[in-house]
Amino acid sequence: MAKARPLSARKLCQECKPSQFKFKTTDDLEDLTDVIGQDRAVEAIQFGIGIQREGYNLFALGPSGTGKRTTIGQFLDQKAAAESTPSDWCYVNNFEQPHRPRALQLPPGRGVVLREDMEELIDELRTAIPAVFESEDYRTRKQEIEEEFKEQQEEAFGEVQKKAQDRSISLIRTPVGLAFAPVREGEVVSPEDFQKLPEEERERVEGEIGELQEQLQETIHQVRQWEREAREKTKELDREVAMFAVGHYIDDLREKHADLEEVVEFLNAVQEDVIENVDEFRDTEEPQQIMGVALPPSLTGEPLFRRYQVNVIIDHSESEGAPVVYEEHPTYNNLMGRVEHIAQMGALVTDFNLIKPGALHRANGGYLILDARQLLLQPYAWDGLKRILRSQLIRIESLGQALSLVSTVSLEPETIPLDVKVILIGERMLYYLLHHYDPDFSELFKVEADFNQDMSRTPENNLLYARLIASLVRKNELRPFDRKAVAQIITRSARLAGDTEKLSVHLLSVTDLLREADYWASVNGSRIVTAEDVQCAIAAQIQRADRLRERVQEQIQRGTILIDTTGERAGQINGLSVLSLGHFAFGQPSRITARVRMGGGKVIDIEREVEMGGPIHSKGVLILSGFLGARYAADYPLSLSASLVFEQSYGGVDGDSASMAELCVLLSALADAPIKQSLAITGSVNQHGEAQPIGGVNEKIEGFFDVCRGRGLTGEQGVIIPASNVQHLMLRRDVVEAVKEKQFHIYTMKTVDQAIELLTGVPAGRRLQSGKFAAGSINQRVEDRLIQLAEKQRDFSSSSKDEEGGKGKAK
Amino acid sequence: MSSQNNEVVFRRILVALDASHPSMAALEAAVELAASMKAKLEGLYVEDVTLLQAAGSPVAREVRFPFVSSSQLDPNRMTRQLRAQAKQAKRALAAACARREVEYSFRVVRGEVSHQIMSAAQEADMLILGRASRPLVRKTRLGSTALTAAVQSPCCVLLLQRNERIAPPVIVVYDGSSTARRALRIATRLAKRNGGYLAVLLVAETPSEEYRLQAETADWLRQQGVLVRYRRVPERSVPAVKLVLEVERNGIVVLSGTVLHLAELQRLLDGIECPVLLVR
Repeated sequence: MAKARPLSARKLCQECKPSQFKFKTTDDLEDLTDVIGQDRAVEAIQFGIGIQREGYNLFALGPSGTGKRTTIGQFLDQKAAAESTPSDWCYVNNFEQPHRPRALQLPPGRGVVLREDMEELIDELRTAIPAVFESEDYRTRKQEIEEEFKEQQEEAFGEVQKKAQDRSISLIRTPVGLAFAPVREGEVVSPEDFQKLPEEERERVEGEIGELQEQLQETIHQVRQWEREAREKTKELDREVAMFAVGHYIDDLREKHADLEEVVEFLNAVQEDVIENVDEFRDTEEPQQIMGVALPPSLTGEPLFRRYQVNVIIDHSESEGAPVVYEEHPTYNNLMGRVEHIAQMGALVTDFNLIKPGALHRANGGYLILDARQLLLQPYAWDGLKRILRSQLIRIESLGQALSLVSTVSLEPETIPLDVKVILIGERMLYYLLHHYDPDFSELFKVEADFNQDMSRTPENNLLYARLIASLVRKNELRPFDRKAVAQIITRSARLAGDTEKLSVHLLSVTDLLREADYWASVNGSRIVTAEDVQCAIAAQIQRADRLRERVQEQIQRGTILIDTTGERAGQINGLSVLSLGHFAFGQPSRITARVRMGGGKVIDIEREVEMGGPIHSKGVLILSGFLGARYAADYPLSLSASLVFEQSYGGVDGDSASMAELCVLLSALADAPIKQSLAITGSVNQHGEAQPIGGVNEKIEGFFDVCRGRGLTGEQGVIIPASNVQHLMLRRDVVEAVKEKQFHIYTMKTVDQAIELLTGVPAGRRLQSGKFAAGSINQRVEDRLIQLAEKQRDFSSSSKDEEGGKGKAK
Repeated sequence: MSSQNNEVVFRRILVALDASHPSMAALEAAVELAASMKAKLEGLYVEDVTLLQAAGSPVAREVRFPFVSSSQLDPNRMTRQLRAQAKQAKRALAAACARREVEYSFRVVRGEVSHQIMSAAQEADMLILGRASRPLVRKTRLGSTALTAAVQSPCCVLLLQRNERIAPPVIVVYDGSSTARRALRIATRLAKRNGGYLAVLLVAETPSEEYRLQAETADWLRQQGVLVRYRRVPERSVPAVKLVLEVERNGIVVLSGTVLHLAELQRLLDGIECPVLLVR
C-alpha cells in the first residue's frame, strides 16, 4: 500500500485568478440580462408561463436568496408586456335582487368611462326630473286628472244630494259618517213632529231614506273606484313624464355603450328603476332621518343615487399588457376581495359600492405571485385559493360566510371568471410537504421550477459571474469593483458553495458581500472596491459571527476542553465536528475515546445510550461492528465489548462524519497502538473500510488548524480527510500558507488502513497467503486480540456452564 | 294715511274647532297668529243641534266610516261622538298653545253652528275658521258656516284651507275706503313678519285714480320698511281681482269686506284657494 502523502498547497484552495479577466473594473462589463446557473428553473418557468392549461400553475422552489422572485419577475414582466390587457370589472346594483350585485365585464378603460357617465347621468337627472315635474304642462295634465275626478265625485254626490232634497230629506255630515234625515223648511224634523205625520208619510220617508242610503253607499263605492283610477292615471302620467325626462339621457348612454350588451341591459334596468322611483328624485332636499336623528350625508345623503353608481373594482385604463401582481400579505380577504361595511346608527350596512377587489381580481388575466410560506400561514387563505383555482371563479364571501359562522344578510356578489396563473415561491421543504400531504396540490401546481444554490465553475461561467457582479453593483449603486476584487468574490462564492468546482448562486449573500465591501471601500476612502476591501468585508462578516468559535478555541487553549495536539495515546483520537449557527459554520476538534474488553460483540455508542446521538451517528457506529466482524476473526464470535464516546460533548451529536475516527480509535484500542495526537481525522466509513466524503471539510480543517496554531505549529500537525473531499477544499489563505511552509499537512485517505497507518505510524498490514495478517501490523494485532477475547470468552462460558449447569446459555 | 297711526290690535282671537282637518289647520295658523300678536286664543266647539235632532229621528240613517254599512242614528251615540270630538279639539288646542306659549281658553256650546260662532264672534277681534268642515266633495267651495261668517261676522275673519299656513307674499286689496286702510295696516303687519314683502292691489278704474291711491299709501308704507309692489285692478269685479291674484300666486289675501258686494265676495271666495283675511 502506497504511503499517504500530504496534499500540495495547490490543491487546498482553487482561487480565482484575476489574470483570466481582461476588464479593469466592473464598469467595463455589460449587464447580465440572463439568469445564470438556473437553467433548469428557467426552462421550467418558460414552460410554466407559456402553457395555457388549467392547473399549470408554478411553484418556484429553492433556498431563499437564490433570486427566485427576481428571476420570475423578470420573465413575467417580459411576457406580460406583450400580452393583451385584460378586461375592466365593475360591480353594479342588481335592481331585482339588491343583495346580489352584478359584475360587468368591460374592455380595458371602459369601466371608468361608464362610472363617469353614470355620475353625470345622476347629476343630470337630479335637475332634469324635478324640472320636468315642475313644468306647467305637467301640472296642467295632473290637474286635469284631478279635476276630472273631482267633477265625477261632485256630480255623483250632487245627484244623491239632489235626490234627497227633492224628497225633503237632508244629507248631513256626522262625526263618523253621513246621515239622512227628513227636513221641513230647512230644519231637521224633530222626532215629535215626525211622529205626528201620517203613517203613510212616515213609511214613505223611511223607504226613501233606505233607498237613498243604498244609493249613497253605491256612490261612495263608485267614487273610490274613480279615485283609484285617477291615481292610476296620475301614476301613468308620472311614468310618461319621467320616461320623457330620463329617456333621452339614457338613450345617449345606450348608444355610447351599444357594443356592450351587458351595459345596455344595465342601463335599461337603471331607466326602469328611475321611472319606478321617480318620486325620490323629485324631493331630495329632505335629509334622511332615523328616529329623529339626521344621518350624515356621506352615506345616506345619496342612498338613492348610490344604487346607480358603478363600482369599478378593476381599472386597466392605465395598464399595458397583462398584470403581474405580487401580494405581500396574502390573507384570505386580500386574495379574494371583501365586502366592507359602514357603521350607521350602530348597525353595519353595506352595498355593492363597498365591494373591494382582492389580489386575484387584480391579477385576473395575468399573473399572481405569492410567497408560499406567507400564504400557508394565513388562516384559510390556502384553502380559499385552491377552491378558486379549481372553480375558476372568484367568489367574494367573507370568512364568516364561507365557514357558515354568520348568517346575517350580506352581499353575494356575482362571481367573476378567473384566468390567472399563480406562481408560488417557497422553500423546497414546503413544496415536498405540500406534494405529500395535499392531494390537490399536484393538480393545481403542475410545474416546479427548482432553483439551484450553486452552478458549475468553468472559465466561461467565471466571466458570466463577473458580469453578474457588475449587474448587481450597478443595481445597488455601488462603487465599481476592480478585477482582483471580483476574483476574490468568486473565490468566496466557491467557498460558500463548499466546492472547488461550484459557485454559489445564493444572490443574497453575494449581494450582501458586495454591499459590505463597498462600505469598507468608503471607509478606506477608495473610489474603487479592491480585493482588500472584499477581504475586509469577509473578515468582518466572520468576526461578527464568530464569538462562539472564539470561546471554543479559548476553552481548548486553556485546557478546559481537552484536546491534545502533540504526543501519542492509544484509544484516543481527534475527531472533527462542525457547528452551524445562523449563517456561520465553524469546525471544532473533539476527543473521541474507545475502551475495549471482553463482551458480547457489541460496540456501545455512549452518545446513543444517553440519547444524545442522532440516528445517523448510531448508524455509523453500527457499521463499525459490521466491519470488525467481517474483517477480523470471521470464524470466531465477536467477543468484545467496546464503548465509544465523544468526550466533553454536552449537546447532541449527529452525522456519520466521525465514523472513520471512531473506527481508528477502536482499532487503536484493540491493537493497543498509540495514535498521534498531532493529527485529526474526519470522514465516514462503510462496512468495507472505505472512506466516504463528508460535509464541512473546510471548516473542520480550519478548526483544527486554529487550535494547533494557537499552541504553535510543530510541523507534525495535520488533518486526514477522505480523498473524495479534495474537490471541496477551499481553505483559508493562512492554512494554505502554513501547508506551503510545511508547518501543517492535509492528508487524504481512501481506506481505513491508510488512515490507521498515518495515525499510528505502524503498517496496517495485509492478509497474507497464510490467511494471517503480516506480523506486527495493526490488523494482525487487532485480529489476535479479537481471537484472544473469543477464546477467553469460550473458556469463560464453558467453565461457568460447568459450574452453573447451562445457566450461561444466554451468552 | 297719516291720521291712522293707531295700531290695529287683536286681543282675542276666536278659533272654531271641530277636530276636522281644515279646522286643525286653522288652529295652527291661529296659534301662530296669536303668538305673534300676543293675543289670547279662544277655542270654540259647537255641538251641532241639527245632528242631535237628526239622531233623534226614528227614520234617520247613517252611513258610517268605512262606508260599507248603514245603521239607525242613535242620539246617545251621537252625543258621545260629539263629546269625543270636543275633547280631541281641546287637546289639540292645548298642545298647540303650549308649544308657542299662547294663553287660551276653550269652551263647548250647543246650538246651531253658524249661529253660535257668530254670537261668540261678537266679543272677539278676529275669527279664524276652516273654509269648509270635512267637505263631501273635495272641491274647495266655501262651507255654509264659513259663508255665514264671511257675510255676517262683526269682526275680522280668516278663512283657511286644509293644511295651509300663512305664508308670504301678503297681498292686500286697497280701494281707499276706511276698511281698506285698516286692511292695509293689518297686511303691512303680516308682511313684516312674513318676509317683508307686500303686494298692494289698487282697485282703480283710471290711471289717475291709481296714482292717487298709490300716493296715499306710499309714504306710510315706506316708513314701515316693507317692500311694496303695486298692481292695478282695473275694475271692481271678481274676474278682475282673481286675475291679478293669480299673478301673485299663494300667499295670504287681505281683503276689506267692502271691496265687493256680498254675492261677488262669495264668488271670489269660492274661486280662490289661498287663505283670506276679511277685514271689517
